[in-house]
Parts: sequence; structure tokens; C-alpha cells
Amino acid sequence: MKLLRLASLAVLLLIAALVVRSLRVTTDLSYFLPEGNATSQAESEILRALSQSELSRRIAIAVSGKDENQVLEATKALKIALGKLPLRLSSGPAEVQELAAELFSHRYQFISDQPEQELPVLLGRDGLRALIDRLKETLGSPAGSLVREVAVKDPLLLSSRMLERLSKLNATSLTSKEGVLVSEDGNAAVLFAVSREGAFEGPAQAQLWSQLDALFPRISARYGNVTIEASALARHAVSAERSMRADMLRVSTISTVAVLMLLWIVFVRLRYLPLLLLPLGAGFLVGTGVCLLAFGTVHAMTFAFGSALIGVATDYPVHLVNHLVLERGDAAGSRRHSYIALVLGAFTTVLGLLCLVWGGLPGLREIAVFGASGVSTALVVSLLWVPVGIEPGDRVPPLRHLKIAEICGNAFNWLRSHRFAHWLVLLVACVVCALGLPQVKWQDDPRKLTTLDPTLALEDSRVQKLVAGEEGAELVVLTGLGSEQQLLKANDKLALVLERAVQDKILGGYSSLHHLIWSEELQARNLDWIRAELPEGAIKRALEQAEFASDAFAPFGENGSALRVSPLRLADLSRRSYQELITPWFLSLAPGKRGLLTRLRGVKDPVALQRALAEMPEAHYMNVSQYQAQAYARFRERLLLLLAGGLILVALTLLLRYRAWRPFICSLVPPVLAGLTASALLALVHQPLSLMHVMGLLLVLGMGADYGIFFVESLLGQATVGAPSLSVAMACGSTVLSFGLLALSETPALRAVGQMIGLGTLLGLVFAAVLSAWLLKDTRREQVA
Amino acid sequence: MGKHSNSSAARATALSAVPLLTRRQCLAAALLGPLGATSQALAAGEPNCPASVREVLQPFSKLVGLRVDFVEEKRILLLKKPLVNRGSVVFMAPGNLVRRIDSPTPSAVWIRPGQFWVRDKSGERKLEVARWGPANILVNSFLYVLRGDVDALNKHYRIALTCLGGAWKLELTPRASELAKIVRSLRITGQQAAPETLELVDGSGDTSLTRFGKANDQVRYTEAQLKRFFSSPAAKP
Repeated sequence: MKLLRLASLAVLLLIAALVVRSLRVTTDLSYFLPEGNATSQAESEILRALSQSELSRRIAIAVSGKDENQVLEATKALKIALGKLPLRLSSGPAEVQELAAELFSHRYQFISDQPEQELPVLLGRDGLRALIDRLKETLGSPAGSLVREVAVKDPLLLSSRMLERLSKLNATSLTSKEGVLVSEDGNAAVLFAVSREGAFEGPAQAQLWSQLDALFPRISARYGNVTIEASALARHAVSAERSMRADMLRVSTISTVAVLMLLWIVFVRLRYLPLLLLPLGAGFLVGTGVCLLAFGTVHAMTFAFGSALIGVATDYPVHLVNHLVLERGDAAGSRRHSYIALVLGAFTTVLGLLCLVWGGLPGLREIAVFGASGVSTALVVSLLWVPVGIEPGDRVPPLRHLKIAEICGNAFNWLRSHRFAHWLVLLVACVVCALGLPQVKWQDDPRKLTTLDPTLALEDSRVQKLVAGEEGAELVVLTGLGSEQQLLKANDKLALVLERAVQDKILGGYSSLHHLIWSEELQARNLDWIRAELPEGAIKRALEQAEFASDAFAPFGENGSALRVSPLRLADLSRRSYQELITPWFLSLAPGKRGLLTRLRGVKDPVALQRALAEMPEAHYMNVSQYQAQAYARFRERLLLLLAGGLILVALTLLLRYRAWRPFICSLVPPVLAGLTASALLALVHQPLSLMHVMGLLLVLGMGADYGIFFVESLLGQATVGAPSLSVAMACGSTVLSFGLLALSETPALRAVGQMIGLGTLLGLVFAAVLSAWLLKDTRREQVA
Repeated sequence: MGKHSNSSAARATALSAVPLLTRRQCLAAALLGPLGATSQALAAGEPNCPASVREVLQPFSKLVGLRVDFVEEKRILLLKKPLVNRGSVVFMAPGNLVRRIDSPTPSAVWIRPGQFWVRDKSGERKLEVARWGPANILVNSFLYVLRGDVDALNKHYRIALTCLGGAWKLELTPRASELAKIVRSLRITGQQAAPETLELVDGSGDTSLTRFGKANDQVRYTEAQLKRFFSSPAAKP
């Protein structure tokens, strides 16, 4: 045994070294996304790419004040200060205006999406006349001087079509002044920045926002109290994380004190504390190490839920201490059953968890591996080390310890002798289930799991109103295409489909890279048509007929130079500020794979839009928030299914062990009934259930089964029920105090976990006690073991 | 004014269509068209030539409101024949002016302090005059004229006053080269105290000659009426 202990210590030290050396925590969204299905896979890739894209890393900072000068000065100072932070300042939408002038020479390549159909009408004889008449009208209007200069080279005003499209690229009402984007009234300016780290990279974003939160008041104070506000996805994530951390700290402080008090009240001897914590620590360490070995990283959610799962392991040392101290561990039968209870409890928990490995969800697999290895370790460490900590003098328990065990035993015996209590409890549970379960509503929107700071939300909407470029959460992403030109060609086709959807009032509008650049093929088709079908003489004749001095015009440039322009490529727009207009449209999917996104506005009929897009298998229509909700729902459904599968395995194991229906029911039914009743109770108080409730259920099932097993094994192995009753009551009490108190949290996700675990474990204890008291009255006589 | 908020598409189109220089020219044309519309305010009955620029401009500041019809002849070098616009100007002190073209193609501009609205076939849009350095001077020049602020005008223009037989001519030539790129010269002519024409020669050599009809300086418009006059081509002044 001593050798085993030393070996376990060496293994733990080795794993600790591994964890310290290679611990990598991630917050990757793919954790929640399913594997296998090709469509889901593509959508998961898109979602992951979006979470890392510039779109999600963008920060809009608005500076507003009394007048333009004050605003400009403050904004310039802010710009300099921001340059020292880990973000990249982006020049913003005003670059479109400069780009327009640069694109002028390509005006004959960007006339029509469907040149073969549209150009014969647009530039036929009647079409030319209409265009020249429009020029004349424009020259006479207040905007006449705007076109006076370009008209010489572009009498058909074809460039205006490009400009109209470009303006859709980034719809905004901001204009550029002194290198700063200012609002129409000049009383506000906006800076755009892109953070280096992804929006969900918690620590990096937390650091960035604490720097920004300190910087804004400094600049404001220096420049006459200008108002500086910001809008960014990451800011909400950081705020939610801060509030969650504060909540956790508050609740965990209270629960730690409460659990310590519970242990002191019962055990009196505080030196048992390390014995209770050692299995937990070892389980956590080994869980982390195994995950690192298996997956290379550990997800933050695994730590959260995995740790909760390993919380089951608290029961093992508590049970052992009670057994060794109260029952003196000397009755062979009692000792055997105590150890069987522990092993069986841990085995059923591990079995249930391992079912999650085959669920096809990376997140569940990680939690399962973490939990299973952690729980197993906690059991082994408990069995090896807890007896070492019990000194010979401890065999005489303190009076209070004995007294409390006696109270627990008496309570169990009271239950045994009052059959009406069994019926009453079970009847109430059945009624609650019958009334509540049909009313269960699922809330799968991940945004509802965190609390949005109302002040930040208001600030966000003020900044977005100023920027006025915000689109909805709907996107179309082109994927599965190799080259840039293939992507652009598909984008041309997509634009046609979306344009039709706009005309059919299915869609309000869209922003796309198509508004800036087309595929070389489409550009060439436009230019080819002009070269073949539109002689310069035809334009000049139309000008003459409209009483223009045709000699003053040179529509095709000197010697037709305007028609000898090469197609515009993305590489031609290499200026950094232009690249800033281009790169946000591209998504980095898997290595070497790129996607091209189009942002949609006002989708009125998503089904019709999906139908319209059916002809393009490479186009994925996505409503990001809806997709996230669907992913969470799928995750939850799969988890419930796997839990059911795990329960069947646990049931088989228990059946194999007991081979009698009474102990089988006593160990299996309490957790199931507790989970159902807790869900029904929450539904009755109109609390929608979420993924977090289901994660809580995982713990309830794990612990509830253990309670039943502890009762059954104790009753099979000994005459007194004091020690096992106390063990189960302490396990339940510490769980309720550790996790149940989370129900008081302000964060919906934590509250959900707390509600389910708090209610579930409490009910699990009650049902385990009631069923054991009822069904195992004559256990020893039945000789089931 | 929110109602006039243009679509960003139209705005970007207008702003990006041509270099800044020609934007300013447009503004100059739109702003300076109504300069001579203050003729009735000068109807002091003085038969002789005004003695100074100050004497010509001083009565403008007393204007409260007026309406005047005009005919504008735009000679654009690209066109063989001039374009002729007919319309009206409505002015309300201290700083509201709408210049509306009724034919051949309806359009309008509305000038308020620091704001410049345009309406044409493509819709209504606001242009930020305060941002366009020299163009801003042109807007202010108009205000200087209305205030009779000769000193301010002198700061930006060389002003020449000539008079023959009671017919006077003010010729304003920009001092700064930036301003001169937008407008080569401005000529305001009048008979005794009543301005009759305004001629603008822009940077490209195109000219715009506006002849003013008889003005009514008794009109009083509310802002809502002005807005309607600007927004609706059918609204009667």
C-alpha cells in the first residue's frame, strides 16, 4: 500500500509538471459545434472564422462635444494614444470616396452585372440618347458642377453607377475632415479600430478594455469633457466575464465559508480538511493533464463544468472519514460495503460520463474525459490517502460528530417507520412532474445566458446610430472555392440572386465586396461588349444631336486608351487603406481555405431567400444569432440523449450488482426523479431551461445515483444508518452550499447551474432517503448481496 | 431637417463624383445666384451712382424677407447653346435662403448657416459647406453681402466699383488662389439701388448669368413654408 501511495504521488507530480509546462486554455466556439455533418461542419467553420474576423474585432469609438474644433482636437489626441495599444486603427468608410477616383479608369469594366442582356438596351441608340439627355439635365441642375469635369471623359456618366455601388459598401453618413471621420453636424467624430486579439480572447480583451476605460476619461478631461463612447462586441464579452467573475467570487466566498463551517460543525477536527481537499485537487490536476494529452488544450468551459463534475468526488473522502471514524472501520462487512459504495458510485459516474465521448460534440467529449479521469483519480486518492490521515486516536469521535450522526440516523429511522411520508413525498413529486414537465420551455439563445449591461447597451446603440452602418446578423458566406477569382465569380452570381431578392421584396438590401470589385471575367465581358458594339462615333453623334460640342469630349480617351485597361484585381488595390475595405469581407476558414461574406439587411422572408440561394450550393445563408441558438439547442438535445444513454448503462451496471429490484430502484430512481422534479419545479415558476440547466443535470444524476448507492450499500452491510445518513447529508449539504448558492447569482448562466444543482441534489437526497427507507426495510433478510 | 436626410448612397455619389474643386464651383453657383435678389431693399430712390461699395451693400442688412423670380443663363463650354433655368428665390433673415429652379428640370438649394441642402432628381441631400475651405468663404461672402460687411468682403476679394449713368457694377475678384480656382470673378450689376444681374465665371470658364425680376420684400415665411417650398416642386412661393 505504501508503494502504491508513493507511486500515486509520483504520478501526480509528473502530471503537475506537464500541466504547468503546457497548459493552454481556449475559448474556441467550435467547442459547442457538432462534428460529422458536412453542412454543420461548414457552418461551424464559418462561425469560428467570424468570431476571429475583423468584423467581430472592430471597435467604433465616438467622440462628441460642443463644437467641431473641440471634437477634432480630442479625437486626434485619442488617435495618438490608441496607437500605443494593441489595436490597429482603421481609416473607416470615408476611403470609399478616394477609391472612387481611382476606379474611374475602369468605368467601362463595371457597367453591368449582365452585360449581354443589359448593355444592348442601356447603350443602344435610344439608351444613348437617354443617357446624354440625363447629362444635359444634370449639368443644368444645382449638382451640375459636380459632373462638369468628369463629363468630358465620361459623358454617359457610367462612373456614377460605380459610385452608387461603392456607396453601398459601407453605408455611413460620416465624412472625412483632417483625417478624422466626423458626423453631419460636426459635433461628433468616430474612430475605427481593430483589436489584435479575437473578440472572445478573454484575458487579452480584458486588458485592452481596462486600458481603454482608463484612457477615455483622461482624454475627456484634457479636452473640455468631451464624451467618449465605444461600441464593440468584445466589450460586452469582457463586461459579461467581469460580472460573472464578480458573481463567482461573491458566491464562492460565501459557499467556501459555509462549507468550512459545515465541516467544522460535523467533524470538529479541522485537520480532516486537507484529506477532503486532496482528492478534489488531484482529480482536477489529472483531469487537466489528461485533457492536455488528449486534446492539446483545455477549454474554459471544461474547467467550469468539469470542476463541477469532480465536485462529486467530495463525497468520497467525507464518506470514508465518517466510516473510519464513526464505524471505526472494523466491521469487515461494513468496510467492504463502504468501499463497494465508493467504487460503484464512482464507476457509474464515470460510465455515464464516458457515454458523452461518442456524442460527436468536442465540448462534451472534453468534459467527459476531464470528468471521468478526475472522478477516477479522486476515488483512488481517497482510498489511498484518506485512511492515512485518520490517526488511531481519531477512532474515538468527538461527541458532536456522534450526536449529529445519531440525529441523521434517527431521521432515517423515522422515515422508515412512517410509510405515509413515502407516499406523500412520491405523490408530490409525481404531481409536480405531471404539472411541470409539459410546461418546460427551452431557452437556447446564448445571449440570454449573460447579462447585458444596460448602460453599455445604450452606449452601444448611440455609437452605432452615429456610425449608421450596422447590418443585421444575417449573412451569406461563399465557401468551398479555391482561387480568389472563383470566389469573386461566385460573388457576382450571388449579387444577381440578391438583387432579384431585393426586387422581390424578400430582402431589404445587402453589402458585398461586389460593390467594389467584380471577377476579371465579368469585367472582361463588359469591356468586350463595349469594344465590339459601341463605337466612339456613336457617342459623339448622340452628343451632337443633343447640341453638345462633341469635340470637347473624349469618352474613350486618347487613342481609345480607356478601352485598353486591364481588369482590376484585388492586388491592384494594395494601398493599406483600400485593403482595410477589402479584408473584412474575407474569412479565414480552415488553413488555405477562404470564404467571402455578404452582409444582409432586412431579411423579410428567410425561407424564400434560402430557396433563391438553392441554386448556389457554395452559398451558405446564416443568421448568426439564430445559428448560435441552434448550435446550443443541438448541443443540449445531444447532451440529453447521451445522458439517457448513460443512464441505461448505469442501470445495467446496478442491475448486475444488485440483481434485485428494490436496491436497483433505490439507487437509480432518486437521481432521475430528482432531475425531472427539479425541471418541473422550474417550469412551474416559469423559468425556461437552458443548456446550463442540462449541464447541472449531469451533476445531479452523478451525485443522486451516489446517494442511493451509499444508502443501499450501507444498509446491506450494517445495522446502523447514522454514518451513511450523515455522509449523504453532508455530501448534499456541501454541494448545495458550493453550487446551489449560484442560484443567487445575477448571471443567468450561473443562476441556471445553481438552480438545477441546488434543487436537484436536495431532491436527490430526499428521494434516495425515502426510497431506501421504504424499500430496504428488510434488506438484510433478503440477502440480496 | 431630419426629413431631408439624404440616403448615404446618393450623398456618397454626389460627394465622390468629382474632385473637391468642382464641388466648390457648384456651391458657388448655387450660393451666389441669389445675391442680386435684394434689389427691393435698396430702393431708396437715390438717382445718382453710389459713392462707395459700402453704400451699395449697406441696405442689404435691413432685409427681413423677400421673394424674387429669376432667369439664369448657363453657358457651359461643353454645350453649343446655353441652358436656361427659370425659378424663384425666397430669403428670410437672418440666414434662410431657398433658390428653386422650376423649369426645365425642377431642383432647389436651401442655404442655412453652415448648412447647404440640395434637391434634384436623385433626391435631397445635405452638403457640409463648413468643411470645404474656399467654398465656405463663398457661403460666408454671401452673408457678408447680406450684412453689408465690406471689410470681410475686402479680406477675400478685390472689389471694383464702376458706375455709368446710374448703372453700377461691382466686380469681385478672389484674392486667394484657392478661391480663384473655384470662381474667377463675380459681377453684380444694378441700376441705382436695384441689383439686376449676377454673373459668375467659374474656374473652368463656364459662366452663369442670372437676371432678376421684380422683387417682393414684404413676404414673411415660416420655416415650415420654406421647407415646403424647397422640398416640393409644386409648392407655390
